[in-house]
Amino acid sequence: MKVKSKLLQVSFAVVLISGCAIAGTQNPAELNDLEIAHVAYTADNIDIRYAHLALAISNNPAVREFAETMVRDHTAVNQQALALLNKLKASPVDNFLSQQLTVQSEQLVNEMKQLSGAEFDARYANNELAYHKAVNGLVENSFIPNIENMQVKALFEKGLTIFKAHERHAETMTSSLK
Amino acid sequence: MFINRQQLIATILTLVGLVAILLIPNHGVAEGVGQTHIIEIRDLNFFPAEIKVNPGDTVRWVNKDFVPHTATANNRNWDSRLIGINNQWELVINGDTIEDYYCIYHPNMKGVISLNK
Repeated sequence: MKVKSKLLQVSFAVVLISGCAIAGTQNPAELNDLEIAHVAYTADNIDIRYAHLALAISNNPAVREFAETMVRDHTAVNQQALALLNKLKASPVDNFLSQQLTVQSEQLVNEMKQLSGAEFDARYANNELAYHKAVNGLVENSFIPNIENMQVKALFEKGLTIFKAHERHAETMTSSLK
Repeated sequence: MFINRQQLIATILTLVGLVAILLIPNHGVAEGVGQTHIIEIRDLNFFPAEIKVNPGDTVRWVNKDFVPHTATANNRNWDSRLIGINNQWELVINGDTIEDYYCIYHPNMKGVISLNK
């Protein structure tokens, strides 16, 4: 029952991120530490890309301030993740979930590029809230419990604290835009 | 050892100036006179979140977090601007600096500075 419940949690998180069901045996709970590191690095870079788009399109001070924080924080976290991997003499390993996240982000960037003004701000803000909720759920419920290396686990726990703060910040931003 | 009239006037003026400096009460606050309070920034929090200070004290924010932060007065009278990872910033307390503060980048991070009674 415990395993089934965990799988349900994982499936829910992935459906939220990808917008589609998991295919076959591809299961985030079965990723190893280096694959998990790759997913996290990819997810960080995707959010940085969304933020740069927001800084290019939006004139809303709250949106721009949030986007600047996303660039600053996700860049800092990625630098520390890479430093840890260098110290461990390891490299992140590409996997189905990183690829899935990248494909979906391409679609979203193409969609958001067509928007402007309040329409763009609302789309960006709502996506930031949903994205942080989904990724945080994945990190908390399936990555952290499965990470074997204690230093990598500690890094993810610190990162989760920051990303939960981003989620609360995104909630405030979406409310202010209504 | 003889001094001329101009030297005498200059000496008197210097002495008068020194006496004036000693007698006039100092309403300003000299930097670094009081206690130094250290606030660590960790896990998107200020530790301690509330401090009590006296005029002349120094507050030092030390960023031990993963990401950059600011310590910014709610009324914007003072602002650390970006405090990088493992960097620090100091504020000397006077009448104008008593104000609650927050991190501009992470608005849910809040701190309180109040005067000892």
